[in-house]
Amino acid sequence: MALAVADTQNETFARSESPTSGPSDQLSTHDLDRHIEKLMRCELIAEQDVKTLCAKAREILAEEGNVQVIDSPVTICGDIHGQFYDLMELFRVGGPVPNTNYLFLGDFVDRGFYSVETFLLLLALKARYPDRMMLIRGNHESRQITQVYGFYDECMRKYGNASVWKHCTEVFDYLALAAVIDGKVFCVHGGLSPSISTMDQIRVIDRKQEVPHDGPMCDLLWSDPEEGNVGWGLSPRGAGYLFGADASKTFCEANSVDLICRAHQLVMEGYKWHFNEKVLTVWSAPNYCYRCGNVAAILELDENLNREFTIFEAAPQENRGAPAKKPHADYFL
Amino acid sequence: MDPEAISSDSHVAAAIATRRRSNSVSDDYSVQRTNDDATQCKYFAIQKGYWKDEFIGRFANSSANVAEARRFPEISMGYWARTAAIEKYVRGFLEEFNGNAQVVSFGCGFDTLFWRLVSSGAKLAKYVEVDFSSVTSKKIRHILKPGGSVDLKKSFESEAVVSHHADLHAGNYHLIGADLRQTSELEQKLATCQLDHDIPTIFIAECVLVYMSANASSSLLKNLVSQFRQPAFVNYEQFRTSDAFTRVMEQNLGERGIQLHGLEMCESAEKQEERFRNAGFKSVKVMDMNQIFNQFLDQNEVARIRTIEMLDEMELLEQLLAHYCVVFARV
Repeated sequence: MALAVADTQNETFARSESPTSGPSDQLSTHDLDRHIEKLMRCELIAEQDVKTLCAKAREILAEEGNVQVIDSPVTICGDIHGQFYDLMELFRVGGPVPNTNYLFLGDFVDRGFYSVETFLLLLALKARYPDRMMLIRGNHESRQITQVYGFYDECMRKYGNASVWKHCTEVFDYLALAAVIDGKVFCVHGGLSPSISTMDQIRVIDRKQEVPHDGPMCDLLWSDPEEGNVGWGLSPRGAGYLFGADASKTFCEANSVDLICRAHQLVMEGYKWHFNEKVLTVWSAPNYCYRCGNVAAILELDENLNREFTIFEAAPQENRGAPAKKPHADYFL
Repeated sequence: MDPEAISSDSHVAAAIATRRRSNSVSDDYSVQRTNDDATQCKYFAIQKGYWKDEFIGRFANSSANVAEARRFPEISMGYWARTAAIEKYVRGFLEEFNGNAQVVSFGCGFDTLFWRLVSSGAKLAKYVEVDFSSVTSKKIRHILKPGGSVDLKKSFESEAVVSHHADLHAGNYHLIGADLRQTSELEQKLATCQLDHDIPTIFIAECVLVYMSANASSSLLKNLVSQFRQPAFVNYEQFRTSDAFTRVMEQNLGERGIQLHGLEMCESAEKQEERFRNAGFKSVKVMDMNQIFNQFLDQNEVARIRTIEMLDEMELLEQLLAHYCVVFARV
């Protein structure tokens, strides 16, 4: 019954691309549920639907601050990198949306085989449950990086043109740069920046742009903690900085936060503490690149910010759907 | 259709019949295809500017579209390190003996080292390449096909003579089709190249021994030491094989029909040393590819290749490099 009604709505929408009504008027809850259902099966949605979804997502994200303010309880997830079936595994161990609140720390796309399905699913969930799905930007949410690491090629392969990639990269520009949970846990994709001592300095960045090659916005998405590092070191990645225990302590004190939670680096055990538990790396792409042999983790923070890690492995082969002609992991042969 | 398949040549027919009787035909076929993958990876890296090789274009499938051809930066960097390391060992060896030395490349695939050496003026007494005849026959076609801006035949001292569709002899260059596990077939084929057993000879194997059983590779090495007075061996293959990375690799390659029968020999530096020493090599040096990358190779070059593409994750490169090594063995 409800389905029939919504289908009619959708047909109306499909016919009209009225310039007078915004995308939020056009994209019904039912449309979103339908997209989510499809994407959950790792199926693509139509190019026109991607366009509408991205417009809707931009509208929601535009309202969010550079530093998203989040209340516990929340489950923090690190890099996903287009490993769709492993994201399904994450939802299986972490609980379904919207029962569980999620904060994803960026790097949704690139390297994995299903960046398109992965990103669009997260985006549809964001549009459907804006207060329960938090997405912040990773260094791979960038036009330049996605042309090297697979998302661009995948869009071209799956849609035959670059428009889906363009819609998605426009959404990238609207993603928040950081989040803070209960004022106590600072969350960011990469790490700290020598140009930033307070969260207010992040709040004034004009974030709606491609990730720059340097400067505070770049650093937040690219930096890494480095044991034994004093001050700011050059990053071997060619962007961002290496920061040590001193910089982390200073930042925590200046902003009255207890913990800096970030992703960005592959850690074989799924999570890793740095600097006497001041900084934490969470990594959520098991068997990264289908090659690395690592496990993944998510961090559950309850309403008192008590921490509980859940470790999970790559989705079993039988859960990976039909063994379609899939590209393979690279080795030296 | 592959011309080889309709060949009426009795020699090839017999060889094919022999292999068809063995139960490892599909396995061998998958191993042979690893050459196509390696060639495309190198071709992409060369186009990106990781290193120069004007010859590879003759062998690569240049019609593959960009999305299919693209490889991640750590793969290009790893192929660069491997190519540069092998070349450095071979050039060093040839220079040590003022060019009065031979090179034998086992499982050569579409490797272009011979052309790179000759075009740069390196002196050598003889260069012999060996691979499955299905691979050498394709390589011969690529070498002899007309057109293109680079003429591979120009590097030959004399006119190329092809026999059995799978062997090519041209002055000091020889390309022969043989299964490295078939000792007598290999010896017969090598004999047609008239190698000088008394002068220094460096043998190359890049991801080759790992596909052979430990017994097969050991007897190959032993035979070389007994037949050649001054052999050296440079071996590139998997390393540190008792962890999760290798388990995943075995599974991934297994899905592509590739079995690593000799993996036990790749477990550690000790295992490699033991194998080469048991075969009669006196000095064996093992370096993992991180050491090769960060110490053995020209660090100005390393700095240059690091800047070609922004590597998003250092750990990926380090993990890959930690799982491959170069063994250099001498008597």
